Amino acid sequence: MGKALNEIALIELSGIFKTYREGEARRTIFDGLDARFEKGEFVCITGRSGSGKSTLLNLISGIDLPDKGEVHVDGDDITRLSDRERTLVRRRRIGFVFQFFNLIPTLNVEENLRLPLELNAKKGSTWDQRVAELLHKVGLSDRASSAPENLSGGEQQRVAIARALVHRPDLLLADEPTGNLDQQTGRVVLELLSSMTRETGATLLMVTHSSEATAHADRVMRIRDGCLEAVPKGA
Amino acid sequence: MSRASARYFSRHPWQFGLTLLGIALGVSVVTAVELASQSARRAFELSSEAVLGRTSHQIVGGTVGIPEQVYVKLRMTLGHLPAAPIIEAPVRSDDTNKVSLSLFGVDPLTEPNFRAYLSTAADAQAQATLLLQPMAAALSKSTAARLRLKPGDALTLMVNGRRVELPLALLLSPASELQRQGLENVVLTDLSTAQEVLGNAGYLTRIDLRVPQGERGLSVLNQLRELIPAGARLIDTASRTRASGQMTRAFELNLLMLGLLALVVGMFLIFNAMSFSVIQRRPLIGRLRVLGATRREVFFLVLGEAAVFGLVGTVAGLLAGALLAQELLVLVTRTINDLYFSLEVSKLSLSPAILIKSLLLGVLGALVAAVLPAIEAAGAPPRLALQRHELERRGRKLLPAVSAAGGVCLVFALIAMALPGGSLSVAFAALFFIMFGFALLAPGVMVLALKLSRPVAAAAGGDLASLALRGVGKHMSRTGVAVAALMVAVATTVGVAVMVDSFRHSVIDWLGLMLRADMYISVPGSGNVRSMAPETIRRVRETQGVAEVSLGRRIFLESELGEVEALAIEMAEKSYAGFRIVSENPERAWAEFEDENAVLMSEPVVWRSGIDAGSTIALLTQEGWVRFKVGGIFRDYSTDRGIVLMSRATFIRYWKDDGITTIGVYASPGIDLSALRQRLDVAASGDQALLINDAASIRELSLKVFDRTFTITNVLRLLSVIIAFVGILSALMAIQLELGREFAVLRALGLTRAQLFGIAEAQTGVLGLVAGFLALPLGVLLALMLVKVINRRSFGWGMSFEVDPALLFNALVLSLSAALLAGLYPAYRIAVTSPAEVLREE
Repeated sequence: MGKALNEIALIELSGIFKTYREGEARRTIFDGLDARFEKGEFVCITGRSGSGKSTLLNLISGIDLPDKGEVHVDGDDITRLSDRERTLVRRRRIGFVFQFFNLIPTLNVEENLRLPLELNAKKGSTWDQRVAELLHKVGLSDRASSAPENLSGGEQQRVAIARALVHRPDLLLADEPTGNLDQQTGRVVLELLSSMTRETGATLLMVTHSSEATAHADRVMRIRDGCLEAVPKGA
Repeated sequence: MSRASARYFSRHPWQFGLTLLGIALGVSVVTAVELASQSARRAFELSSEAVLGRTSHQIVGGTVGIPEQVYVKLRMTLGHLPAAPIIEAPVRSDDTNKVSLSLFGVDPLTEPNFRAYLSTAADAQAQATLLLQPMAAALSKSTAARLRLKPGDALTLMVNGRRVELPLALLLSPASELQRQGLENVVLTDLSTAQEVLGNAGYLTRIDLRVPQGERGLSVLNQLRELIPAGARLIDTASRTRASGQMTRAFELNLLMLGLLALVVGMFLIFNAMSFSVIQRRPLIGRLRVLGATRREVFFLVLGEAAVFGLVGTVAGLLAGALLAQELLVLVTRTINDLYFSLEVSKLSLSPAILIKSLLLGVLGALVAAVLPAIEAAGAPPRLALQRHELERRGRKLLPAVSAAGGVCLVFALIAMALPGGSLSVAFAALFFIMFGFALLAPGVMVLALKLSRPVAAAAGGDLASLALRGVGKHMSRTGVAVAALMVAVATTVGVAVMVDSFRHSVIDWLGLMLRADMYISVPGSGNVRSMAPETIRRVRETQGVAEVSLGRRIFLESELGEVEALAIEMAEKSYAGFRIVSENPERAWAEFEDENAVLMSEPVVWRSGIDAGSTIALLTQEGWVRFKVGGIFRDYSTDRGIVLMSRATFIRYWKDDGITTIGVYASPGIDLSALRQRLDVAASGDQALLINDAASIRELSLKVFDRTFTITNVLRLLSVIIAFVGILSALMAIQLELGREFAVLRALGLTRAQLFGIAEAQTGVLGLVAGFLALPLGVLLALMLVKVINRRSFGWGMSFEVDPALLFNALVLSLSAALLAGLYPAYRIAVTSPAEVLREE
């Protein structure tokens, strides 16, 4: 028999090997990386530019595949799944927050939030209620019908957080969510992200350079030389 | 700066390639049409020049030709004047290929004064052979090779329904291109041989003359006018050649306009590609501006790029055009042969003037299309980047002005239509104004239509449908141009198809009306063919089951307008219903027709000459020039040069010729037509092979010729759609590149590849549908212009206007499928692009 249910980590990466082609040469990003992220924890991932932080999130979300190794999400090795199956895992279980917000410019705020619900076919009376609830939480109830282009950077990122959580995912992946914001706004966004994720019980993996962000995290990990190492908090 | 620009395009090869393809296709179509038309025209001029040689004037006329005595009298009176008696008639080789040939009977002794091919010393033997060997014929080497004949073989011809064999006595080696062209498909014989072959002893087709210039010439011309008999006419050959060349002018102009249309669609493509490249490079342009590049330098950078595109695309287009022209030449020549005159074009003439003109057109077209994007680029603020939505917002702000400009174009079109003079070029200008007007209105209408349909789409397909729909409107600067290009191409298809369909319906109605008789017996051949033997006519009349016959004589007559085709007819009771009088008071027209001093005219003659019902037309009769009253106008599609209809009694009275070339046979009621046909075969048999056809087979053959005539139109239409297809493809590829990040985010949010592919295809489908729906009113309007204005101004034909709903539906399907097809590859690229790659690039 395998591990008991409560022993299964939400995310487990083992023996990850990943390279990228750079012109004629290949650059190694991960060389036998192992990692484990538990349910409900908030982990910050740091590292130099180009160390593979975003690649790690892409591998966990199934957007990208390792050259070698396994990526388990709740016990299932997603590297063995088809593209469609990986997409469905992402759709149902993962939420994304990007550095550049990446709201869909052709949809208004409310519609951006409804999109993950629609993709998950979560129709019904709770739909509008859920959207309203999240908009209220991020303090943008009055901007429901605004176009993304009419929002400030901080407002856009708040919408992005709401969109990432609206379908109640198990895992939230945030790629430098404050990287494109001023310090004050970044702080607000960080608070929001941290509190809302903890509220839902989801796991939050955040790629960041911000020391303020690491202060919120349960654990901090650093990518160095293709491997993931623990960083003592406050270091 | 130019290096940065070159590198940009080398990194986007599809954008570079599709732009070049658009220009090349547009230029190739215009060049091909021009080259093919010009080659046909050049071949006609060369053959006219070669056949006319140094002829300055001709004596022509008479339904059977000029009596030989006229030539004898001429020689006796004006012995010093170079003159050559000529017999010329269209004939056909009696082999499997049925090649159209021209029988050219000459006097080998007088010929050297006019045409060079028999004038060299080496050809003295040729002169002797033609003179001395009975029934000898000569062909040029290339014509003989085409007919697979060698000296000594028998050349078998069908002449006026009779089979004639002539020994091929010698092959002529043309010394120049002019001579080669002149002798192409010519059967050269001695005068007496030609007379015997044609059964026209004692008559000449014409007498070629070399009248000196100046005072002496004028006195010679006066003497000649006194010499020629009443039924003959002295003409200036230059004006006659010009008039013949003019016959195909409207046809060529129509082709050229279709070619230009392809270029206009190509220009949309250039505009699209250039404006996209500018929008995409705004950060780069902004950086250049920060570094000190002036607005002027940026403006000329973009124009320079367009010039390079224009030049490279045009050169490729010229090469492709020359190849395409070879194919079009076959179609152009076939149409000219079907509709106008027999013409053999053996090679394409690559006129440098046309090539230079096309080069300028292509490069200038590219520059004109790039002016707006260049202004846009020059206006870029010296910042690192300007948000894309800012640009689209600016575009939407401009939308009312663009739509207003469209409205102004339509007003210009109305003004152009209202201009007096009825010029064909002005009508085409109006047509182009209408197209530009609609093209400018297209983005505005598209945005409005999308706005109105959004609630419906959202209700039916949720936010994903809404997302797809908004994507189209949001990127209006891309999609608007693509929709306009596709709309113009599809509208052209609708316009031309409706025109051809209306024309076809009118021709079918006309054929149904005109072909009243059950059977038609006619002398094969064209031109002034020999008439049927009276005995044959009598036998046909007396055939059992024949209730009534109409007797017709189709002939070319000299008129004040030049040569006109005439039909002299003795009507059967039912024949009258076969002619649709379109002028006022048909009863009076028929009453005039029976009167011996009146004729009826078909619409093209009226259009060409301005002579209308009630006025008169001068025709050269055996009694000299006589003015005939125009009793009425009738509809006839048999020739775009028009036809003069007169009663046989009138013809016999003035032309002293009771010959018959066509008999319409009306069967008695209840008669078995196949049995009647067999009896008529017997009645019409004899020395002369006559054609017997029933009305149905004539109708079928006529429609076959009709459809063949429009093959070239269909080819050009198809090319326009292909160019628009490239335009849509280019626009979609641009959108795909531009929205890479957005699509990657959607993939990250959980959209499957199939869903993304579906969204991309739905967007192209929307583009296709919008273009299709907009193309319908424009197409119908273009068709209305083509039917009621262009065709009327080109050929004088009136026709009914019919719009088949199935045709409109097909256009909609065409637009939708072209867009969906063009969207396949971009949609595929969108679906398979790795979101990780795109997000990593971010």
